[in-house]
Amino acid sequence: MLQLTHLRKAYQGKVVLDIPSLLLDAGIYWIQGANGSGKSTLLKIIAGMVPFQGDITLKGSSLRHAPLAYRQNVGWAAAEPLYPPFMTGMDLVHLYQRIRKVSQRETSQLIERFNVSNFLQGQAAAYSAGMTKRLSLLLAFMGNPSLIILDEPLTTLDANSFTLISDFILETWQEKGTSFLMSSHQELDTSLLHAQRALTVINQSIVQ
Amino acid sequence: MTKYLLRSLVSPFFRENGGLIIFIYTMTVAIVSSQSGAGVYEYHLFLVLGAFRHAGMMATVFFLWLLYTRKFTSFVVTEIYKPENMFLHVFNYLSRIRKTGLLFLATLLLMIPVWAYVVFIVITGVQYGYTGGVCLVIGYLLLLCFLSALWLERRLQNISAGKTPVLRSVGFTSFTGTLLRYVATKQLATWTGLKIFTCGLLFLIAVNNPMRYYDGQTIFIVVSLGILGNGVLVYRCREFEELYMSFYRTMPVRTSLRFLEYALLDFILIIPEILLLILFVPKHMPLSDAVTFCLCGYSSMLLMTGITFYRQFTKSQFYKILSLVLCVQYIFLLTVGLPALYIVLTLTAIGLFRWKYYKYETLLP
Repeated sequence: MLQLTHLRKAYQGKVVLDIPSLLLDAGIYWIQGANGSGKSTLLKIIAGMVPFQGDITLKGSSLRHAPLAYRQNVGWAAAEPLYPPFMTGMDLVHLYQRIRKVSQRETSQLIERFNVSNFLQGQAAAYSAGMTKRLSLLLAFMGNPSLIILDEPLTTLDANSFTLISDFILETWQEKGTSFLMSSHQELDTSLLHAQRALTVINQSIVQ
Repeated sequence: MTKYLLRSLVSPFFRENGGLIIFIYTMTVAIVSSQSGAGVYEYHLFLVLGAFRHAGMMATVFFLWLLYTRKFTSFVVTEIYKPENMFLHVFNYLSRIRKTGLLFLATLLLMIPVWAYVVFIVITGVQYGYTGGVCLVIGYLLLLCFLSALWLERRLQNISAGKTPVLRSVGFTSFTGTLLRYVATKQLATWTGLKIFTCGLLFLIAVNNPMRYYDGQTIFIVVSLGILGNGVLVYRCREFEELYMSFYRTMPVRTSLRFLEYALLDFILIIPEILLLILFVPKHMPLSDAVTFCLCGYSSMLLMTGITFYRQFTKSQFYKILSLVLCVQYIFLLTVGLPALYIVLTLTAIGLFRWKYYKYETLLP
């Protein structure tokens, strides 16, 4: 499903990631690693946010050669999401809805599922960290992407939201076959988010 | 209840802006040196009498007061939506008249820096027999306070719903729309200042030079300088995008469409300059020059946007590059001519965008 070829990333001359080849089948993956190991950088690269050397292919679409088709298949939620303070959650949902061509029915279902309707009309400036996180997770699911990348999905979530997200990830995987790539800097029990395989970023590379 | 409202909405404004208000007052009111026998009092007396005698000057003052009202209203709206002020929804249990009355009181207090100067205006106006003007000034300020109170009442009513006030109703949930909202909400003073400077200077030069003394080169330099001044906004918009809209990079949007979104923003930002140049035709400027200047100005905007994608520049680096661009424009003006300039600038902008769009390292998250 996801293939990384000769992926290399350097910041100011220092190599932070060097992955000659990696092939991941569809599934739920949990990427671990210490602070600064390059987990978030790897996820940002796969999400198409930062430049890199090499290529990434998702379901046959190359990020370098067919970025539009690739991006249509990837959903992304940042570890510490930030949104324009004057925009409401609903503005952002509308923006995603329009660009990712999401139906009103699907949008309403996601809003209900993520239980965000009570604050969606308020401006992002007034959101707590947990509310912003839930909104970012909702946006990542919009448009039925084949791969959803969640950077530190558990931070700032309360127990109820955690259960809700965890259940929804499993349900989405079982019903739609959507793959997940999630990260954490903590040593976690991979069954927490139904992860099927754990990957560890060590010495600029990935250990399966 | 009044106490809580004032503590939550009025005090924070002065805590945050008190320093700036004192600075502006000191610069504009207190620090006026004596010259030719005229001191601080005479200086302000002439200013106030000038405003009473000339409608244009009074209109400028009214506009500045409107901007100030907009600033504190916008600040209060932000305060209303802060989680720690969610308790303010209890005010919705009051009658609408009582609520508006309380907010009117709040806006009157927020207007204190203006009232302080209005006292001097009123005394001078009465003393010199401009009672009509005095009534107009007081009436205008009370109207501003009242309209602001009505607006805040509406926001308070929707405290839990919290609809975005600016440009929302016309469906501005696009990338360009979001950046325009940023300019409209956070950079309005900068945008207005730039337009007053550029358009004001351009207007004065053009109207004082009839066609028989027409000097296109001087006007072009002024236009270029003014347009490059918009670089401040281009830079700030990109900074804002890097910080708050990084998610947009992951969206399935064609690079060409992304370029058009920036191009639309650049065009909207310089509409006043374009309109002014068109208005000069044919009395103060030939049509061909107006069109050329507009194209050069617009291509300069595109180039400035393109430059921000070459790599992440600091502000000072960016402004140094803009100075260089101005020099290049001047060289083109003296040598190969302006049509070549706007073609080169546009092609460079497209090239920079095409080859460098987010292919550089960002320092922000």
